[in-house]
Amino acid sequence: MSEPCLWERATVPILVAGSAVRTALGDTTATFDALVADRSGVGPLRHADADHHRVKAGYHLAGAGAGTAERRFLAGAALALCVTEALADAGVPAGARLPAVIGTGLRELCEVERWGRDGAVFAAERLHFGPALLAAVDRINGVLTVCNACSAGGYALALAQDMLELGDADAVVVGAADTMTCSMLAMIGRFTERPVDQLRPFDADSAGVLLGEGAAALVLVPDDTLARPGAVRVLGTGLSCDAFHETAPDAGGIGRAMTDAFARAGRTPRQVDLVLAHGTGTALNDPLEAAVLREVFGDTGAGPLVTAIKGGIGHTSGVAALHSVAVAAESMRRGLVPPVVGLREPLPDGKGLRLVRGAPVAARPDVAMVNAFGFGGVNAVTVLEAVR
Amino acid sequence: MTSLSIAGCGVVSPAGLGADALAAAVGRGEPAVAASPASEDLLPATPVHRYAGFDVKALLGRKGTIFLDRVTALALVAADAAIESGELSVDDSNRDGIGVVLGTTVGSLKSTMDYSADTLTQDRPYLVNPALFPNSVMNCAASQIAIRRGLKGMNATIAGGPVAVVQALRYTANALRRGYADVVIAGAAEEFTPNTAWAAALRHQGRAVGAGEGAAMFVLRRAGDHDRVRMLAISTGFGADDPAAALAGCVLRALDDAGAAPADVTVAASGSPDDTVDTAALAVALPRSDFERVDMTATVGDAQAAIGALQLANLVFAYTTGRMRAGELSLLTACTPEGDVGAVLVGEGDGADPGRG
Repeated sequence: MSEPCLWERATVPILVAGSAVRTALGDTTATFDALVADRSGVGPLRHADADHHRVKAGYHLAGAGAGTAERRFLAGAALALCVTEALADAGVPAGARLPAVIGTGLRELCEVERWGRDGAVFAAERLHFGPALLAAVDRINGVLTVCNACSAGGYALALAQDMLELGDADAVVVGAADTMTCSMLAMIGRFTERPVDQLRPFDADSAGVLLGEGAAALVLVPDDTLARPGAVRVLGTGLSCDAFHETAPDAGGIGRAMTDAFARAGRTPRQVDLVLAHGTGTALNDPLEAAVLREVFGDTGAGPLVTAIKGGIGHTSGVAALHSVAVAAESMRRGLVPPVVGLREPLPDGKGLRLVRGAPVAARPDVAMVNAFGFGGVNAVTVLEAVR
Repeated sequence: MTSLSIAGCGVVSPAGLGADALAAAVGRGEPAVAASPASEDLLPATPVHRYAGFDVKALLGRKGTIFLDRVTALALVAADAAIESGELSVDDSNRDGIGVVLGTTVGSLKSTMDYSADTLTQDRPYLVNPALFPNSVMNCAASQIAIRRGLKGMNATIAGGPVAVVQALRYTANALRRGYADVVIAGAAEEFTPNTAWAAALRHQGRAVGAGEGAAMFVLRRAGDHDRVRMLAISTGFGADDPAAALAGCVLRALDDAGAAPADVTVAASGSPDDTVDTAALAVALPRSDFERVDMTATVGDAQAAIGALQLANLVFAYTTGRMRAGELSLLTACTPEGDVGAVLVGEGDGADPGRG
């Protein structure tokens, strides 16, 4: 790591001034309420060629009806909706320099597959989120797309904070969107030995991962004067790359992202009350992530509460980090930590972690850590703080 | 303050390996048009700018190269060359602080399309080869560079078409400034495949512009006292309604950031496949019109994000070989049809040899 003297340090608190999500469970409130009720948004896979897939279940966006899979440019549409709502809350003044940083795993690849399947031709520019976003919100100054697989949202968050702290923007829209592609469904089907009825993070008998459609947007501002009780500050995001394997995670890489996150946030593991784990329900991720969490929080007494949301909303790929941030923020605001939906009996590595199971826990988390790890070994860990 | 020290540079292009081969081809104004890559591939009737002699196994070794797609292989070769030219030795004392930032349009269009096509056309799509899936994800090349060289700092892929290289450099400057890394291997890579050839044919609608390929990667650090060549300023912007005005604004911001005057620019290079907007922006931003232009697409084709990266490599080469002198600045501009714009200003650093040339 760098000598700290070379860094340009944070001087101004970064506040989440507006936020909105869409998941299989609905908007932020509906998603949080369902998670608290230990309810999953899983359902039969409605993808166009669902019959061909070994994967039979998925987490389709709520409210889009049975035709979800046929909705054109779903990722961009859901993203535009979230960005519009998040900005409506945020009170960003007219004329502010307001760029958008968008994280995604596969962008609108689903439409390319549809083109191949149905001949649904479209202009290549529509693969980019720019046109959809600018059509919905014309005040955005450009769209930067960060393609960092399942940690893309976390990487986008890191960049947005940097832009604000360096004075390169007055406010930043941090967004993310991903849907399901046939190719991704086929790929996860190859790793499925038995049908996956739902995603079960950290479960001893998890059958594997399922995909979720989703989008999210946060509006970040470098202004603590807007801070009100119930609001959330982004303290810092740590980044690392495993440089180890395309798809298998690495304890060292994950640990370094956490260390970096604590250094940037100016917090220690002992101060963390809540962890939103990456928790994908896979044999590759969950035992390893659990072991790293035990290690990092090993000498902090009881350790933080640990929850994970993918059992409720599926693995939303590039959106995963921002979905977890939104749920962490709701937990802080409402004083309630939802259980790990789908978790029955924790896997051996999960013993010793305070995994929330079966019912929500009343708590008042002040500092939360959000994990997101992606293919290619790209890791992002974000530390948030409640405004009290 | 976005100034970066360029400690190394690696280039692979239709002209072959190295900045010297590229500079020679560009200097001759020769299109490096190669024969059709494989007779069974149906290609549009447009020029083919492809490095025909690209021998992945000879350059990268047999181990671990069997599943590499072309853009990943090009990026790996350029990254290797950059690391060697920068005499960067990677070991356990520094690897955590070495990051990778890569600009791209969509990663490997062919890998993504093949994987999807395989999924869609097979009776039992779940028989797709999972080992090929990582190639279809846009951050494949950047993560392969990290895996090959053991680079454990932050690792990011920026998708932005012809402006992606400027956005990637902007990202790099930020990452260095904020201590996410001490060294970043940054640049852009694109591949020539039948898929990109047809995509280019659709973009250019009957004009004789063909797809191209190449990669240029740079070893970048925070600017210091002993730099020979620097990226003095990097700026990005957006202007859907008037991209030329937005780009002119970018150029002026870059000059201002570097404390330079418009008249200091002696070479202006474009990373856009069609430089109409760039030309209009330069007419506004640079009152003197006697600066030199560099036509890169004639040589490397419409190589999207790689055009600008190769332009930058060619500009850097002019300084390291003494063709460009102290006080003379070079400018890269780039834009996309959607209105994204960017500019990079290149010049000598404080450590350049004053007695040279």
